Amino acid sequence: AQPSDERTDAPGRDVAYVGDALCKSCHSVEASHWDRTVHARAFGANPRTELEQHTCESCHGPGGKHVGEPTSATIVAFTRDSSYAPEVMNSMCQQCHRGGALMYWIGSTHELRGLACSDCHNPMAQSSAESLLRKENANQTCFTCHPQQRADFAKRSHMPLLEGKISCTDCHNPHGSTTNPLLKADDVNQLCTSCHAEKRGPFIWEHAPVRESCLNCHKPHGSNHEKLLVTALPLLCQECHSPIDNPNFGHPAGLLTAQNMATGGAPDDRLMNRGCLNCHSQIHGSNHPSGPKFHR
Amino acid sequence: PPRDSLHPGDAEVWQVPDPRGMSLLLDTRKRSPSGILYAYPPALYDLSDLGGGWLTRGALESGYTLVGGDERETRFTKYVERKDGFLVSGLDFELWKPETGDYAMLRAGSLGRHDQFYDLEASRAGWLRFRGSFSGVPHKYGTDDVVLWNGGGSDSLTLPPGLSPAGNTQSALEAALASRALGTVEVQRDRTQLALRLRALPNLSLVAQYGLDDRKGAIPSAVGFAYPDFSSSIGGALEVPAPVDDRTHSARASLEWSSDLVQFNLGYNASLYRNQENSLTIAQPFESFGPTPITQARLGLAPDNDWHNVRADVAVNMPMRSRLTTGISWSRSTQNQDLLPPTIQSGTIGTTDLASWNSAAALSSKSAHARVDQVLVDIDLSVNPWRPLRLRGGYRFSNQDTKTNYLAFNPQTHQFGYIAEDGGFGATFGPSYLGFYDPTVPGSNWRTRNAPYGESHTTLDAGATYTAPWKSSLDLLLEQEDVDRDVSERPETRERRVTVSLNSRALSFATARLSYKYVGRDGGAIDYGVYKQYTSESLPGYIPAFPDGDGAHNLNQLVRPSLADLDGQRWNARLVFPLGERSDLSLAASLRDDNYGPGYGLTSDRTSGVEADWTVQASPAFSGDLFVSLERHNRDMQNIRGQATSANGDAGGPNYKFSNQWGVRARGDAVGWGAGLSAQPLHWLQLETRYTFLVTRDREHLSFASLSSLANPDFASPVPGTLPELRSRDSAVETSLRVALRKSTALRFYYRYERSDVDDFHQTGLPTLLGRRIYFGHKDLGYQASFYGLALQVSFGAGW
Repeated sequence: AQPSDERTDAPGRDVAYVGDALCKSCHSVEASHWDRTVHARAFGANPRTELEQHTCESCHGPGGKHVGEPTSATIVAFTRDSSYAPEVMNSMCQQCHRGGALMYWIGSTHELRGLACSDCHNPMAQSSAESLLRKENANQTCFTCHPQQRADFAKRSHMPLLEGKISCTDCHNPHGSTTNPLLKADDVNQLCTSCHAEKRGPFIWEHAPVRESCLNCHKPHGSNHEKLLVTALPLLCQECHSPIDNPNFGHPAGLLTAQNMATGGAPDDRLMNRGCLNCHSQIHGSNHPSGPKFHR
Repeated sequence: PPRDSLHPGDAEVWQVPDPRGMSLLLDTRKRSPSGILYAYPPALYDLSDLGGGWLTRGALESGYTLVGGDERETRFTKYVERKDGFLVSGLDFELWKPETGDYAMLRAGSLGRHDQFYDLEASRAGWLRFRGSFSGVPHKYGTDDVVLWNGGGSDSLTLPPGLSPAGNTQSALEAALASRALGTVEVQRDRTQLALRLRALPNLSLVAQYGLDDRKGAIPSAVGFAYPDFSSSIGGALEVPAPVDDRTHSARASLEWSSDLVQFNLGYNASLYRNQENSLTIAQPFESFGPTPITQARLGLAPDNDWHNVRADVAVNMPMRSRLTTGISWSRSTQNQDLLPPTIQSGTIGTTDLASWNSAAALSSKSAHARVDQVLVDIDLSVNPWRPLRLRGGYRFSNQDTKTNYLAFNPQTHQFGYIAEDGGFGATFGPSYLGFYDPTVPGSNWRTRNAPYGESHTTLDAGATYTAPWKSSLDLLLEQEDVDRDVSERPETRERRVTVSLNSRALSFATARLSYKYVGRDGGAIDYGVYKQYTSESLPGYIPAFPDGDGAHNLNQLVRPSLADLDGQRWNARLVFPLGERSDLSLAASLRDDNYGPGYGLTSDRTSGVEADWTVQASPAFSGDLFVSLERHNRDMQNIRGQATSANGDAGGPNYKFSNQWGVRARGDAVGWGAGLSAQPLHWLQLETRYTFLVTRDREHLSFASLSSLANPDFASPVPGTLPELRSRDSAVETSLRVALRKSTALRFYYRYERSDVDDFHQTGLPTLLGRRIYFGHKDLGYQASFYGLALQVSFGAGW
């Protein structure tokens, strides 16, 4: 590897703007696609700032030098062969996209990993229904770098993402947030209960790990186990509970074996059907005065 | 945007890549900065002139769909509707006025079916944007369910004619169940979203959103009367359909300011949950003996609740390319539903007349008065004194404060406690086990008040990023998180994290992102005695169960993983290889290795995975991809079968003898692969096809110190070594073949074939009646099923 001559300074504004007609005279195919994008519609009809009036050069920088020397060294390109570092590419986008959902971009996981906006977006064509993504939708865009999540969504128990009913960006803000997994909420539970509001409570009888985090028991994307559980019942419960053998305290946490299956000699609810939830059905919390053990 | 099963991607079914490619000027394919090829852009539509400066285009797809094979199997239609019949499968309409930038777009699919969607966007580009969408999400829990009761989906489950509460023999129940038809237990969720964004000033945007989630149907739930294994006369457990009829209203209003120097967001969010059903009454079908038969039970369903949030985020750009970002968020969750009486049952058990417990007069509080307040403060500072070096520091504080204060006290009888399982527990084990505190009975230990779980997290972090002159950067992040819990067996823990990551585009043939993270956690002593204050054990006159005190709450050396000592490592690698001009290869590998102390509960959790994705874009008319995914996970746990002989909760003590110790080593893997092809061999013929395969296996390896470690030592032959393998194998082929008949007309043939096998020991041999248990008898079965569709596409203004 050779030391890079990648430019980290923003393109000088002292270079002259040439106007989009000149750009389109060479980049006709690009322009035909660009013209259908929401950026083109906004910049063309309703520029709200002086910068937006420069259309192509709003993002690529002034084209004065590029006209005389039409190489990638004289214009801000947003591709791998660009002469500019990703931080400069991103700064061009951030001329407009810098607040709102991008408030926490600086210092976010994606920013620290050196991603450019154009790793996920392609503003030059309307390849996706919204957000000018590089692929046909947000899910496919995310799967490029997160293939494990694609496998998770195909598992026996999964969120209906591949069925088109949920999107990665329903839960995550890829541009940064105040949480490490880029959640669109203050914490995991706030996020989960935005859809599963019936589990939000607060209940008079609460289950400590539920109040703490849904992820204590559930995987967020998909699981080999029912209900997106992290492991099989009753082992999940027995990882925390070991009551003694007394009706007041519960049943002893003995090892359940194949004999405790429905086909065994000693069928036990904990190993059948809904497992421990055959009785502790209100495991997310109970509002019944007789529900401290989540039976009611 | 929402979609349906026929349009799982955002790409429209009438959309094809532009044969001109991306550029006429440049003959090289363009890649993203990380090296991934950009897809060929879609071909441009011709737009029709409507007059008045408006341009338009539209398309409609309608046809007939057929299902075949085992189409009733639950998983074939779990989140989608697949059935025989006519279908308007797609609608796409656009209006655009270039002069003003006004446009409207409507997309819809599966019209009239349960998985239908509609998505409308109307905008003046750059100034105002309205978005409205509707999406139906069916969710089937079982299509082969046998439900004994009448009234499924309502708040009262009654026994069918011929059966009477608490008065049926096993053979009568068996006959009744045999006569019930297979039914479907499902919930339909309909989501409506409305959003408006107004760019009021160049730097100021106003956002308003409203959402409504409407759910109707039933979900599987359960109710018990006592341990079904312990009693042949009273106990029992029933799987029942719980009604779902609720709405969640969500709203958001925010103001976003963005200038070169300062950006801030100020927003209000709300979510209001409203349930039309607050209880479920279930007729008890089993024979019940004694003077007071247990005839019914009542479950409390999810109560109405409100959530409100106010949030402010401010970022200031400062000299030396520094940036200070602060976020403050305050939330309040409240719930004040009227409470149900402790039991619905009447009669007398022992000397207790349940009439004094089956009305609201038996409650210390008529409603829940439950509340949780949350605060989050997040401050981050980034400074860049020397361009290659960026330094960061952060402080994050979050606090969750539970204000709920419920006392289980009957002001009529002046007794603490409640009625367990609507009297079923007391009827099974004797009146002293009814559920309330009896100071004359040793060990009469029952819950008397709620535990207000809450916690605060304080996180400090410091980081540095060095950008090397080889298109590379090295990042170091140090974090320390202190957790202080209000009620916990381990109130305080401290977690330290170190993350090192390397990102490089230095090599022309690859982009690499590598990271390593170490996580270490420790904390204070574990003391389960903290829970005594929430039980009758803390009441005056309490007589312990044993001479040295009351029974142990739990094994002292066992805490849940989030509290346990942790020694964990995470490795992550993501590599992108541009291969020639027309393909790229992505590789990802990860390892998460967590080891927990102090020896019981979850002891280790290790997951590793490797994924590869090869994409080829030979031309606009031909592209394909192939991916492989391998995952392996190991999860080890240890526990001890407890006995009730003393107050000692230590491992190796009289209650938790080492001779009763047992463990499980769970080993699992998932292997998946798939391939897709998109081809347009002739200008009138377009083929999209995809094959996916995934097999998952999980096996629990059992170990135990002696037969007394087992839940049922009498059933130890053959000696247990493993539980039957949990296995699923799913494959699917999805093909869409489109034949253009004319410029504006095409035929599309759609075909999906699924094949699946599942083995799950929870469902193996599961009957509908087993002793004093009643189940739906649902099993995920192997199936082969197909879904066909033949549709006519008609478009106007389109140029294909």
